[in-house]
Amino acid sequence: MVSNDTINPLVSLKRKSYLRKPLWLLSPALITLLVIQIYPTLYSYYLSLGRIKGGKYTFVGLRNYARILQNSDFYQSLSKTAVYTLFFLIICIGFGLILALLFNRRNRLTPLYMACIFIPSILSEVVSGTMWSWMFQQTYGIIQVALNPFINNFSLLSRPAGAMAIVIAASIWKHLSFTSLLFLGALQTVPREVYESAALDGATSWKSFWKITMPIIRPTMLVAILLTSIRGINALGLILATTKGGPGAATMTTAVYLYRTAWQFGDFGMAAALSVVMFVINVILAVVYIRLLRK
Amino acid sequence: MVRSKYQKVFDNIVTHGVLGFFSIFMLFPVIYSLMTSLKNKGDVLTLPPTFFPPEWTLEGYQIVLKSDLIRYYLPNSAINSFVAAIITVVFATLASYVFSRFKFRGSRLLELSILGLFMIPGLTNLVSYYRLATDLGLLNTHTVMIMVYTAAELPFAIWILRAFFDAIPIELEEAAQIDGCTSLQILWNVTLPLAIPGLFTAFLLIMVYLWNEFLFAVVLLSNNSARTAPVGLYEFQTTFDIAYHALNAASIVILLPMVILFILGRKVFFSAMMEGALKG
Amino acid sequence: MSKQYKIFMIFSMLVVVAMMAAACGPAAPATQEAPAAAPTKAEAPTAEQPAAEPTLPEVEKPTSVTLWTQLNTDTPASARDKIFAAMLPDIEKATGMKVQNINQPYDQLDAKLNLAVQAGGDVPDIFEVNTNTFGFHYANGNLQDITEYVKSAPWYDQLTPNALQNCTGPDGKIYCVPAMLRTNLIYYYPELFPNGYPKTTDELLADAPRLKKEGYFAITGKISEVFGAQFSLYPLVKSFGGSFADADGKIVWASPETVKVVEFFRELVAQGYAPESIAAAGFDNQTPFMTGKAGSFMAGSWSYAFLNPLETPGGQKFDDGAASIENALNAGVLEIAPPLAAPGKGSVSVSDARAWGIPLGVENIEAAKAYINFVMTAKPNADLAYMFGCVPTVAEALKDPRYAESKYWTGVRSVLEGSIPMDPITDNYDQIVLKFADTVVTLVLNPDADILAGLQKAQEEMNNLK
Repeated sequence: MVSNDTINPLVSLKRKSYLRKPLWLLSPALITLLVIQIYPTLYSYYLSLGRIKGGKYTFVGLRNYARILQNSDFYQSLSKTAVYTLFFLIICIGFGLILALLFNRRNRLTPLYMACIFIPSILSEVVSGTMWSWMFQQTYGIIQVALNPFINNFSLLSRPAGAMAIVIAASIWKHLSFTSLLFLGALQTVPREVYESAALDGATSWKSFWKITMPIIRPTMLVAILLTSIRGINALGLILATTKGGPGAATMTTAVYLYRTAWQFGDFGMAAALSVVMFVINVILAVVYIRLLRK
Repeated sequence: MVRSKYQKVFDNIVTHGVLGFFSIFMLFPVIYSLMTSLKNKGDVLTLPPTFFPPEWTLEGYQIVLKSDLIRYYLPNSAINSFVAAIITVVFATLASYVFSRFKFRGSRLLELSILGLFMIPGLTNLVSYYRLATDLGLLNTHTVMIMVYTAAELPFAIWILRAFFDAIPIELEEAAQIDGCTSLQILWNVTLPLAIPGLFTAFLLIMVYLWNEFLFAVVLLSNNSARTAPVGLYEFQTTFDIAYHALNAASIVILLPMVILFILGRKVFFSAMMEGALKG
Repeated sequence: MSKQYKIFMIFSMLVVVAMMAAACGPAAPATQEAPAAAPTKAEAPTAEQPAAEPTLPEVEKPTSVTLWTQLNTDTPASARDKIFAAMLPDIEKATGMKVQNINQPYDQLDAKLNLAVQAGGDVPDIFEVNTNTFGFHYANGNLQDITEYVKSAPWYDQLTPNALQNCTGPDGKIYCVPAMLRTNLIYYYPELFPNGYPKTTDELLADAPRLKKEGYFAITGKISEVFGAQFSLYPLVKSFGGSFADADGKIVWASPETVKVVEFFRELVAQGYAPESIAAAGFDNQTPFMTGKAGSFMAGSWSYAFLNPLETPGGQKFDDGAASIENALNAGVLEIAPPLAAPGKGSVSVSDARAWGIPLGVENIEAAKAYINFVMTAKPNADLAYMFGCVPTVAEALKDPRYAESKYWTGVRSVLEGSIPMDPITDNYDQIVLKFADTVVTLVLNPDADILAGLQKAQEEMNNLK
């Protein structure tokens, strides 16, 4: 409600500028996207219908898609992706919101806390992966050694569940500031007076959170959930740098599987088909979220 | 006076406790990496592992300084990410200004489709980009990286800049319009000066992202002299001779420029963030 | 107006780019660029290359050659880099060509070549093939058939017998030139094995509790990824009498023999006789051995280049670069042994080659041949093999004192003599071997999983590929 009115100032401009809409200003961006984003993507989709060998392309129709659907690695990677994305999403959103609410209280140290929490997001995924795998290195990793007495010398990085937990923790570590800043942005739009008057009316902070805050940040919640799950599904660099999809295939999400198919197996046709499948999954998820949260 | 004094104290403790905990959680790996980078080769592998170096040394950094990281990778990363971020911000400014101020047939759909590009997995265009680069004769060049980066970051840039333009009041522009300025003149003289914190924030975010970009760089660059820093680090990591102190030193060297960038721009950036740069 | 003009300029530049992209289209062939560097002293045959000249047909002399190797000669870091960097001027002098060496990380070398060939990019004239991934290149058609050239090459008669089988496809054609051979073997600290190193898996398991009590891992190594499957799992499966694939390339690893191999590693990990990092990606597994915390190390002849610095359980340190292993051997604190065998069976070692290949699409073939002819002469062949921890394939190079007189190399050569190549899996080689490694790692880490069922499932899936 609030957002709609403030975000659309064009209502007042609309009539006067009717004749002078500088739509050509869109062209640099649109042409860039067309040439360097849409065209290559369409070309990839064309590749997904063929097989390349010795530099020659042979059309094989939908065979690559059939191969994906027959492949148990694919289904396994889907379930890994689901686990990874679910934990990543829930924790990022939950903690992100908590952090944003606490940031919003604004005390002297807030900028310092914000800076600390922001730092991981400016690190490269490769750097982050290096740091995390180093902390959990079996013999010399400081966290691994610190945890050893409690987990019976269980090498976390070498165990399927442990490796998955590390990868999820590292991803949250890296992306948490993004969701919290996103929520903070939304919380800023709530005037302080609203809370104060609610408090005067005797509302508890819990109640005012649900009655005032939640409705206002709801659109942001949608964006946050959408972006975070897309990030989760497509996450690659950090997983590669931390575990390379291992041990075994324990952290081989669909994105890692796609990377392996294209890069390691050199099967570009099937990799392109996989990327189409992933795109479809992303779109379906987006539609579902929008339907669910628009209500 | 609804809240009691005790509750306020309690609230403060919770706030500082939680934020403090998260700050440590976030900083720990970085600090530990920094400490490891300052150890010597032997002290890296001691049992039990120590947090602080028993003996402070710059051995790891010496190895890094002699490697290609300084000679090629960092300058390449700097050029690619800086130029691409500038171009992205310029293009996105023009586009998001239009999206923010003018409605035309299909504008909403167009905007949504641009955002929809987020959903294309990054790996989709691996072969296509390689082919495009080959056909244009641009393999192993800055140009191709800048092109690819610009295209990859445009949707994100348009998304955040749109929110910034929306937040700038329209009245000034209306006044300028009455004075007979063209829309481009209005954008340049009236709106842009107000949008500078937003542009800077967008630039910063994109620059950092591209500085760290790994996937396209690993695919499109095969010459050593064209490689970027994250690719170089990945190589460091995958060679047999693992030297953890050097590996961590390289990590620190790679992240340092970005930290400095953020320290320099912190005022603008965080106030923009506090005001809600990232909005729905 | 000027601002508008600037923006318009940017815009029109983009249009130009767009038009170029559209005009070139996806079908444009890659142009092989040949840097126009002037040949220096083109006609200077040297003593090291007496036989190479006559075989070169009298066509235009090539002026440059591009290599893709794992060696960084731009900014040499390791000893290997330095040796190769120092060799480049010799190659240039002998062949009269400018040599441009581009280094690629070992785990991306194959992928990069594949992408370059398949997408018509810049392919190098010479490609460093590790024949453990020969199947990958064969299946994708990345390398040129060079059978005729090899058979008429001056060094052909000098080649170690059977070395060529590493470069021969199932179609009988030769696709690369094997320059050096390597094999897997075991390094161990004799001070931890007073009764000698166990020959078989059950002997090792019997000895391991003693070592565990003393605080050592009995063994370390790597069973994960393609690397582990080839050099740690495959030889043991073979020793037990099993196989990866039959002669037709059909996967047959779901056998009681493989089950025994998995059980062996399961026992090692479950009892703490081996570090769990044998199952993880990367090369963390070698640190316990390098720091004297593990009694033995499943590795290969190449490892000597990487096992430094070395600290023995007794606390002796060897930090002499690539010479560390040799020095430790001569000091008697380190030994090498053939790979572990199945109980009552013989040990099996697997060999593969580092080779030179000419990628598909290379037109600068004479340059590639001139390069190969030079590096296959005795001295460069010996030098290159030595720095990689491999045994050279040229008979003359084997007379080099480093190989003829060294304790280490004598040991390696005796292991290498009985070694066998990998099973012939050609289509989807990487995928299949990686699947095997992943399956075994998963089974090793899950003590409750049914081993045979797991192997069976993976086998069926791999047989149904394509």
